[in-house]
Amino acid sequence: MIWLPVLGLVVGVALGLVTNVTIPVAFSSYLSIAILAALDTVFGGIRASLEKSFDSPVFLTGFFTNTLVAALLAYIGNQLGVDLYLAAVVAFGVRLFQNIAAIRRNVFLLLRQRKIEREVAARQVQP
Amino acid sequence: MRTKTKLMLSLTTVSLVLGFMVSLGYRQNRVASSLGVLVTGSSAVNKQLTQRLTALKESNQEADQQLAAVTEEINQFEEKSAGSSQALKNLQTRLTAERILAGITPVHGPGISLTMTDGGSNGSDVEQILTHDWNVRSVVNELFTAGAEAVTINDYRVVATSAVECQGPVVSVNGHRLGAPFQIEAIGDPTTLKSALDIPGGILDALRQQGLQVSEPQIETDIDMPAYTNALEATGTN
Repeated sequence: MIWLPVLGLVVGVALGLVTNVTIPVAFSSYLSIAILAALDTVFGGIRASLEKSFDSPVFLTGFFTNTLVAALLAYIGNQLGVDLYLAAVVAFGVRLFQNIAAIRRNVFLLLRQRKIEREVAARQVQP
Repeated sequence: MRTKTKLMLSLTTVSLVLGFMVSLGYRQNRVASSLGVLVTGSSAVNKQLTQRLTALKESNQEADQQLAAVTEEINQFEEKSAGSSQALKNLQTRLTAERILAGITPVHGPGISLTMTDGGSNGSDVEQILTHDWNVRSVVNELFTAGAEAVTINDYRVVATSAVECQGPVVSVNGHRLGAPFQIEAIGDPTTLKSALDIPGGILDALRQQGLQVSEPQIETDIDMPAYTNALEATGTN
């Protein structure tokens, strides 16, 4: 089951490289911000699933609204002459690192738990 | 549906979109960098263009200096090759004189200098108080008529093929875009040049009447002028 998202990622990358979709050069900075927001949401989703608090609708809507809002914010900032995209970069960047750290901690916790469970099971079998 | 299946399905959807976006961004960035434009905002584009402009200007300046050095070398060789023959020496002197008039050697000598700039607006027509190409041209023509041997506008030598023309908000001299104030220098007999400009009802009076600020011509004992550096060959005529 774990290979399904990886496959999706590969298919998405292939789709982007094969199809001839282009966006205007002026909008490509918004695309970068949107990518950052999307990455943040994905890692947030993985973290939530490890903490057993994953909610599919929340995750899906969060992904799309975060992406769009980040791009929109950058656009508005550009129109106002304020580098608002910096705010998005900082906010999403910090959260990205926090999420990755939380995922790491959760994975370790999970591994230790399994080890203990295995030991307990082994002890129960022995006598 | 089980939570795990749901998780995997939504993660797959999201990673599909993410992958698409990432590859799109990657391709976009590659195309942009191959074009020489970075796409991290318009300020980055400006910065890069400015850097390239500065580099070009520097190399231009270097080439100019090189040209001046080579011209100097040629002159020295010619002097040497003239040797002791009187006829060759006469030819050499004439060549030097012609070169000065053609403007292809740096020269120095006594002359005059003046500065003209846009007048202050006091409710009059803006068109009137701006320094136009024909204002500069008329002063230069007056100087040559009065016997100037070499003339520069903001350190750009004016020669027979030079054009002083209007280019929107600026004036182009030899293809260099210049803005006010214009410092015009001329080598020649200082008193003749000065009186030619200062004559009552003459060119300077007319320009001042128009509303420009024109300084009094200053007599200079030694003006250094660079050589004309653009191409001299006539390409459009037979």
